[in-house]
Amino acid sequence: MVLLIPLIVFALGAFATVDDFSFESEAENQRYTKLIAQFRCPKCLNTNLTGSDAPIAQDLRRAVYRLMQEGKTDQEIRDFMRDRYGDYILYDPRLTPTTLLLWFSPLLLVLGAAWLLLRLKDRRQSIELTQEESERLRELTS
Amino acid sequence: MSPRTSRLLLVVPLVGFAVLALALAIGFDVGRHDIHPSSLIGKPFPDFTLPDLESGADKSQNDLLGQPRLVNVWGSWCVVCRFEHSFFTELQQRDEISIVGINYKDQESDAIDWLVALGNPFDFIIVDFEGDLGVDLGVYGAPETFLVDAEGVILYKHVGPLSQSIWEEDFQPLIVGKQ
Repeated sequence: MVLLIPLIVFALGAFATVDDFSFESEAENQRYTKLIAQFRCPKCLNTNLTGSDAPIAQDLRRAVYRLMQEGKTDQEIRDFMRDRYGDYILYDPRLTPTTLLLWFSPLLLVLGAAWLLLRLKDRRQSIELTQEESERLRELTS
Repeated sequence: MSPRTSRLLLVVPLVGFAVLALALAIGFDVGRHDIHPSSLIGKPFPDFTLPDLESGADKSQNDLLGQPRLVNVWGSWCVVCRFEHSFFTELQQRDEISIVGINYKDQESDAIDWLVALGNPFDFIIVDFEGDLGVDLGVYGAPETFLVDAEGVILYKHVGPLSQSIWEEDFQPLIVGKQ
């Protein structure tokens, strides 16, 4: 019984956004599903068009469907969305001067961490004592 | 490495945290005003052919030309629009700028009831029942207000209710010398 709960939850999620669109082929249907997962719902901040029941998400799904029927390519559909709603709507933002930091901050963090590690390693090596120092240490501790 | 520098290294995480906290604080503050800067600013108002709420006659983007206009996206279902409406009434009485309404995803009878009850500050009202013009304008909720110049180019977009102070700060400077 407990095992059924996630099933029910997932099933509800799947039903939440079934619009009344018909596709010529299963491939087109899959293309649609893939496209609407790429756009962020402008109203709900952290959901894509697939997962949102907001009226604006319905409008945008309808726009995606209409553009597909008009024979637009995936890139043209992405441009259509970006021209109207800005980079914000794309879950996979383009590389522009304003998104440089977003794209490269992970790399900066890794480089920073590597630099720190190297410095710590240097310190460990510097603890090694010279011949004189070890003799003096032996004298002092004996 | 001297003990002094290694002690300095201990401060690195703290400094990192401070920088991150500051960046987020600034980011949230900037974002509060408009999280979606309109990509339509500087571009012509999108093409449309939609009915006029009162006459039912077709209106198009050409009907916006000739003078600067405020284009306000509203609906009778939108509570904040009701709040904003008194400002538009005031603005219209001062005769500062032409105001055009886009009745967004609304029932026509509800919209007309709303105007009868609250007054009509709009020069004309375009009916966008399906929300298609809304999509072309990058609208994601109501109210949103666009400033369009006499050539039909979008100069500014404000998300949320308009008020006298926002009007003075953000809109008025943009239309000085454009009238």
